[in-house]
Amino acid sequence: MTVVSEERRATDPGERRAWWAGLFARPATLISVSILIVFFLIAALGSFFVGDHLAISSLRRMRPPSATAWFGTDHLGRDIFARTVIGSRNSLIVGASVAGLAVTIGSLLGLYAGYFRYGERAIMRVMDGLMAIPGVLLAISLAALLGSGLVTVIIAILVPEIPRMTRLVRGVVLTLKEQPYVTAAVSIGTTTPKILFKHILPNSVGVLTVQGTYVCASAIMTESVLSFLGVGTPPDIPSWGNIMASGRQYFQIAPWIIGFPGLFLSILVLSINIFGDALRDSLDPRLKRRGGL
Amino acid sequence: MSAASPLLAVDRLTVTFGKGTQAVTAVRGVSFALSPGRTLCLVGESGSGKSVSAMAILGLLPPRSAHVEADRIALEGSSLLGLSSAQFSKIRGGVVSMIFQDPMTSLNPALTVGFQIVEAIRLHERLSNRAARARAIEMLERVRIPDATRRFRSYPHQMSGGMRQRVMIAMALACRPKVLIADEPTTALDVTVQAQILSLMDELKREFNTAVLLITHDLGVVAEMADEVAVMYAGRIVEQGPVSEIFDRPAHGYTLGLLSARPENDSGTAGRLNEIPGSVPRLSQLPKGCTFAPRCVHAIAQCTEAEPPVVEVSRGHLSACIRYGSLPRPQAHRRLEQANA
Repeated sequence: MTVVSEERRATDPGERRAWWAGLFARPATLISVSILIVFFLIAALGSFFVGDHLAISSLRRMRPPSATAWFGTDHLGRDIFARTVIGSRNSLIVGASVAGLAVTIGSLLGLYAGYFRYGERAIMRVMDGLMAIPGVLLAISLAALLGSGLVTVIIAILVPEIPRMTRLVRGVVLTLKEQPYVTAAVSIGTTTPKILFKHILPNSVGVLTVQGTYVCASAIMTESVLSFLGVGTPPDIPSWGNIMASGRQYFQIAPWIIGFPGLFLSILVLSINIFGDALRDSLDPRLKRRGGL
Repeated sequence: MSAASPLLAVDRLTVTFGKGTQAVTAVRGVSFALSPGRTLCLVGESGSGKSVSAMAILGLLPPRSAHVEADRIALEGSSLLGLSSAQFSKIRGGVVSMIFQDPMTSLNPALTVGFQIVEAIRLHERLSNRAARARAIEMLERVRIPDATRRFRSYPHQMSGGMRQRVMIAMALACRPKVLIADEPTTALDVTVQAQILSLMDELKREFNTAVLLITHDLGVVAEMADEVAVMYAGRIVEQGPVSEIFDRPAHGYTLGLLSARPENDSGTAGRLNEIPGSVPRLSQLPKGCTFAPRCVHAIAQCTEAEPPVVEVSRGHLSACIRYGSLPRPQAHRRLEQANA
């Protein structure tokens, strides 16, 4: 008996490299990832390079963009460039923490509801209930209840995201747990926690990563909306939302106050979404290279 | 069937799905025994309850929908009935292992095969990671995976079907189980690979003195592997006995039908294969009397009156057919010698 007849297939390192190459095959992906890296650097190091974002100057109110104030100044004479740069930190922290927490909590609840199914009904009905409440409204009431602050903003945005994540993970778990390899793992005596965290969770990582990027983008948007409405980040911490809010009244005479933070917001959210799409395409082979960007 | 004290004894196993009027009985009163170093083949069409019986023994059926009853399911004398899932986890993979039909989907695509074998070993034996790794590589070599050390780090999708089934066998045998349940282990493989896998299983069975329950619908596989054969139809074992008896002197209309439906019976002449008319009855609407009677060419009026009792046709050869005495011998049975050649 020989085994020569069995074909050999290409292994390890080449394949991983091919995956990365596939991920960055589209120029749009490369650009979006570069933009994300730049934003990360701005948020991390920006405060060392910009002037005082709180300095008020009644002499330099609502100046248009110039060599001294690149993005102009607002109605209190504060430098929009400094405020936008500092504000990016706020957006990225909110985006990353909401995405991280939503993925973590959502996958725990989803794993539980999908695999055990004992408390499933209770969990899913609570989730349905949360879903029925408009996200921004819930965020406003939570902010009103807990007072404004970064943590409040994160919780307020996180709560409406959890049901979506939970439902998604539960759906994935429901299909994965019927897979023969899960039965096979059970049949060799694998314990339930290991089934959940070593067999089912790694197979949902693709979906979780992709959904995580979308949650991140939408959390950044929601944070801006909340700050714009005045229930988000407190005014002493600049955020793109409250910078735009402060420029709302002067939109016609000083459009740069709203324009620059808005532009940054759009570029950041767009980049995250493009990156999410690219991840989705390369993690899901069925969608591979169907054109698009 | 010498079984003084069988390794695994199953008595009157019955599995019902659903409740009340919706209830469907998939397995009805199945009994068999496995002894070390022997292979019992469970043969039958799709839906005859082969796999369900195996899953029931290992407690793998969903407790919500499946209701398992038996007079006895005993492994080395201790009962498997009503074990908690933690107790079952100790037995599964340790004392009893299972190989599944489709090697393409029975390995977790997100984990390396090495990791999966190591996990199987460490679940049952207190070994260091390194020792488990060494054992895993040794098992991969045992199942003749070329370049085992490198293959240890491969993912399932980087392997061919035959290699994956070898990995499954390595994983199943890594803890030296006393009983191996193989559910159609070669159905998804092509014929040359099939023969390799079967002879590998046979070799390892001899080496480890494992009791094997081989589920299949392929009589060629049965002829090659089995010591004992149990033929299932519509959830019931209709005939059971030593492989030579079953092939030479089938004592049930269904077995006879299966044997004459094999392509090798048409000694050289191209033509239509013999077939068993009709199809397996729905389990929710079983005919009265012998469940096979409506499709049986040898059926008489009496067959449809009452479910035929199981009789011992000859030593160790059981049949649930009232016409076992008047069935013809299978024609042109160049069976065992040829299959084993």
